[in-house]
Order: sequence, then C-alpha cells, then structure tokens
Amino acid sequence: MGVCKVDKIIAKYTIKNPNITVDETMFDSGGMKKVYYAKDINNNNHYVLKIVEINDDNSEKRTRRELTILDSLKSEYFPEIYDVFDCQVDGKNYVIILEQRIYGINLRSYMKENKIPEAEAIDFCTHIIKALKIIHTEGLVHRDVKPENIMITDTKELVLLDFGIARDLTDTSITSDLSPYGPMTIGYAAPEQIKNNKRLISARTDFFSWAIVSAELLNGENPLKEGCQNQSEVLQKTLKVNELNLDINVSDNNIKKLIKKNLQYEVHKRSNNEEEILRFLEVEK
Amino acid sequence: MKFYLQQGSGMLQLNEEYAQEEPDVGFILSPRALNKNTGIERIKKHANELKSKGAEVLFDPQFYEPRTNLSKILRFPYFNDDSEVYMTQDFLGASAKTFAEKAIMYQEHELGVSSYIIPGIYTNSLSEDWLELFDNMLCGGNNSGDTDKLYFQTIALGKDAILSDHFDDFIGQCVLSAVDGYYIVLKKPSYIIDDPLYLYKVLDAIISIKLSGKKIIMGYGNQQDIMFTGAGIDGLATGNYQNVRSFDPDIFFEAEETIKKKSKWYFDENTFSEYKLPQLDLAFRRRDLKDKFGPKNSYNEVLLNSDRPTSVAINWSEKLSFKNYFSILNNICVSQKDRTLSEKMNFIKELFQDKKKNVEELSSFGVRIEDKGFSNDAFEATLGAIDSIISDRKFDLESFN
Repeated sequence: MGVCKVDKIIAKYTIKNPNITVDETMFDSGGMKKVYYAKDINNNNHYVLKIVEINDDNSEKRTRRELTILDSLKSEYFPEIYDVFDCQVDGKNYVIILEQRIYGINLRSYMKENKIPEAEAIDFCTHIIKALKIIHTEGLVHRDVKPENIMITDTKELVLLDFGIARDLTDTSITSDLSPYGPMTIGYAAPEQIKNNKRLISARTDFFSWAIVSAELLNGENPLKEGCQNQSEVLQKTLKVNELNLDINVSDNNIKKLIKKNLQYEVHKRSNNEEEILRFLEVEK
Repeated sequence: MKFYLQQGSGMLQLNEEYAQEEPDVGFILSPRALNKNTGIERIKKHANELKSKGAEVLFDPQFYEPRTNLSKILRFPYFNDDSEVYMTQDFLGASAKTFAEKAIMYQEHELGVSSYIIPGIYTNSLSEDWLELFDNMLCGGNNSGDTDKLYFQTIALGKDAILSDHFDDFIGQCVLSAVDGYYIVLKKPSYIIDDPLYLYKVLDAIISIKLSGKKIIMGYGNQQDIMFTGAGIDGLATGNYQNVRSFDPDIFFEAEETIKKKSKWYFDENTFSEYKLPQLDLAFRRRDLKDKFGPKNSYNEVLLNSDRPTSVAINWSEKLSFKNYFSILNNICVSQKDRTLSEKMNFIKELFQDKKKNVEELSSFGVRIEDKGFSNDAFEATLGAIDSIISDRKFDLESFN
C-alpha cells in the first residue's frame, strides 16, 4: 500500500463522509493493516481509521469475522466500531473501519514505564478475565491475548483489542487443517494453538494466554520467553510447559496455584470457566 | 453417587429382587444379556417391571464392536434393518449420526429410560477416524430424544489408548463437549490392575471431566473401581459374573455363548478379595482368623456364621454371593454421596489402606488371596495412584467441588 494509494483510499472514504478528517500520518501498522487517527469535525469525536487490504478470501473472511465479533461485543472492555466501508483502488479491495479511539498506552508500554504493584497487577488480571468472559459467552475465543493487545486507558481502564484471529466456535474454522501451526503469537499461544488442534480451541486456550500475561505482570518477565534465544526455543518451551519450574511472585498462594493451573499443557486441567478464576482473584481484592 | 446393576446373563430375576430390596439402585440393561431365544420385547417388559418398582433404568446399546456377529445384538432395531454388520468405512459421517439417533429413539420409545446412553465404538487407539466417529455419534445422539433427560456419551477404551500421548487431548475434548456426561467402560489390563500409571491416568481424567460439570457413570466395574468414587464419579455399575465386572469387547464376537459352571466364591469386604469356600474352611479353623473376615450382612451371614463354609455351601447360592457383592459396593457408593471431592478421595485412600492391612494380616497367617483377590502389587498401584493424584491435583480437589 503506497502513500499515493493510501491517499486515494482515504479520499474515497472522506468524499462519502465529508465530516471525517484523517491525520495522514500513520501511527500503527501490521500485516495488511494501516491505522490512522481521524476526527469528526461536526462533533469533535476522535476515532481511529483502519485500512485493511483484502488480498485473498481468507483475509476477507478474517476481517469480516473480526467486525462481526466486535459488533456483537458491546462493553467498555472493547472498542466500538462506528462505520465500515468497502472500496476498490487500482483494482485492489480494501475495507475501511472507523473505530473508537482509545486514549492510553498498551500494556507492553505500561509495563516498561511503570513498576506495577501486586494489587494493580491482580486488578489487571481480573479485568482481562472479565473481558474474556464476555467474549466466551458469545461463543468466541480471542486467541491473541498479549500485552500488545491490551490497552490501559488514561483513566486506568482496560480495553482488549485485535480480534483478527479470534475464533467463533459456532462457525467453521478459517485455518486450514493442514497448517502445521494455528494462528497465534509465539510466547502467548497455548500448546493446542501451536499444534493447530482445532478440537481443543476453547475458552481454556485464552486462559493459558491469560496465565502467561498474569505471570508476566507479577514477575516482570514472560516465563515462556525467559532465557530463549529465538522463537523456535519459545515454541519448544511452550510444548514442554509442564516442565517449567515456575514461581509466581504473588503473596496469595491460591492465585499462584490458579495461574499455574492455567499454564498447564493439558487443556482438561485448566480452569473450567471465568467464575472459577474470578472467585480467587476477587477474594484478593 | 448411585450404584447400578450392569445386566449380565441370567440377571432378570436377580434385578427384580434387588430392585425390591434396594430401591435406590439403578439398572443398566443391555442386548447381550438376553438369551438368544428370548424375544427383544422381554427387555421392554423387564424395564417396565423395574420402573414399576421405582428403579431408574438405563440402556447400554452395546455398539462397541460394529462388526459383531452376535445375532441377539444385531436384531435390535437401531442396527441395520437387513442385519448387515457395519463396516468402518460405511460408518463415518451421516451413518454414525443416524445410528446414534436411532439408538436414542429406541431407548426413549421402547424402554422409557431415565437418561440416555449414546452408543460408542471401542478403540485401543485414539485415531483421527475414531475421534470423528466419536464426534458424529455425539452429533447424532445428543438431544435427539427428550431434552429434559441427561445424555451420557459412551467412552470405550483399551489400555493402550489410556496410556497413549493422545489421551490427554482426548480428555480435553471431552471436557469441552456439550454432552451432559459420559458412560465409561474400560478394557482393563487385568481384572485387578497393578499398573499405577494406568490407574493415575483414569483418576486424572475423571477429576477433569467432573470439574467441567459433567456426570460420569463407570460401567463394568469391580471392587477396584470403587477407587474412582474418590474422583467424584456419579455412578458405578457392576454385575454378576466377571464379564460384567470387567469390560471385554471380545465377548461381542463369540460365535456361541456358553455359560460356564462357576465355582462358589465369597467376596470379603475387609480384604476386597474373593475366596473359594475351601480356602475359608482353612482360615476358619482359627477363631481369631475367622473374625477377620466380614463384616456380616444379611447375605453373607450364612457363610460367616459357619465354622466350615463348605458344609453350608448348599445354602450359599450364587444369588446370595452376587447380592453380597452388590450390597458391599452399593454401601460404599452411598456413603460417598454427601462428601466433598477432597473428602471422597481421602476416604478412598483410607479404605484401600485398611484393606491392604487386612490382606497382609491374613497373609501372615497363611491365608492366600486367589486370582480374584487384591495382590500387594495391586494395592501398591492403587494407593500409589491415589497418593500421586492427591499430590498433583490437591488444589483442584480442595478448591472445587
């Protein structure tokens, strides 16, 4: 997506929506996606504008699925979608998404900038689970819970982003059965994602990632990445996660056990639902 | 926690008597237990008789071996109308779904069961084909009858499947499934198992399935399977002869079934072992040894009151022997009912520790356990598996119920 092409795409959108102005300095990008700040000059509302290039059937399906998912999740834990616009520029298809702008920084940056006290870390862990509960109630699995996808707003609220690889358990899978790996972020993905074992993708898959993020919040380091030189080592470590001699720096012994329970290789040994997890986290609060 | 009688050959009358004597006991009826000369309508009549006594009736469709040549199973209406045996390749997809649905319909319309058992095929290898079949059976059977009743999906596995690397993934699939519960039948490596890892893996699986909120009935159980009440199973089924106290898929291939003449055995609660009467004669010669057998109940007192059990052998009927066995296992099941998961597991540990001690004591006086008895290795395996599971899943056992 060259600069001229982006201009053309944005122009297509602003012609149809003249009240929207777009700051053409891209502030984020990833995969086939570019993200810009935008504003409604009529009411001064601020947004982010995402341009997603559709280059094959799968990318279109994933984009549409993400939009459908976000549309079904109405909560302060998720950004709101205001508009979706399809366009074609120079023979290529794009989807433009106008989304709520979240003021704050992602958890990765927040962890770098702050020493997080135990109580605050547990509070974050609690809110991530509450957000996941809403997702799982809709029959969805996020599959990409990691600090980069968690925003901490200026008012210290938590927003979960990026449903790009979320799975709707009531719908057919987009990932090929023949793929050696499922879609994932190495270092946060559960073993069943690595093995692309679709039968086992469930809320418990997100609980594994939640447990990694929780351990990272409390220990300051991702236990799967610690000591690894490359992604391949992290993958191997994840597949041997039960061999980790992990200690979690938390005073409440039950929370320690709860995190370790959800860090197990075996799906059947992880927590059954969010209520079971919240029972221990909220006792602490 | 409910105790079930697993219907074996010649149990119709026994079932009816036991339903009268123990109204809380349930019954799992099955095609194979019927005499081949008896019409299948007999099972419907039997179900009605048991239900009229207030008993809970389930029906095991016994689809463990699709290529079974037992005509008394094949004649049931959920099998192919033309009585052709099923070949595996014919059974992927729609056929499996239809079959499971028909098996549920039979249970609903003909037998009026209280819960449904979704049929399952036995495997000793958790292959992708078998997993697909398992999914299809669930898809066809689940909620195809009365949705207010519970649906138990059959899990029929051999030792290699349980000890395989795929077993944990399979249990992962089971905890995520939408079914109400599982009817588990296992082809054991031996009647009394002395492999601690095997026992550990079964305990581990049961705990996870139970913690996922599903129910479990263990079928074809014996005294060692009482250990699984510690992991929270909801039902244990056992029957009269060994072939309904230990699952063997080979019995669905017999060309001609014969009921062998059985020796007279006494099942002793104190040692969880079975003894032939001459062995008891030898032990009962000493009052202090005789007192170690028991405790007495209304079924076994004819033997335990005698100084020479072989002299009262004529009064020690097979029926009394079976009822003695049932009542002992039933009482343990009932006693587990109101305990927490952690309490259940601790109770089971103490129970097997006591039995082990009693066997050792008798053994020190020369009383040998026989081939239906609990060897020291079997006790060690049982207690080792229990100790390991308590250690590994302490948090689960104590925190969840």
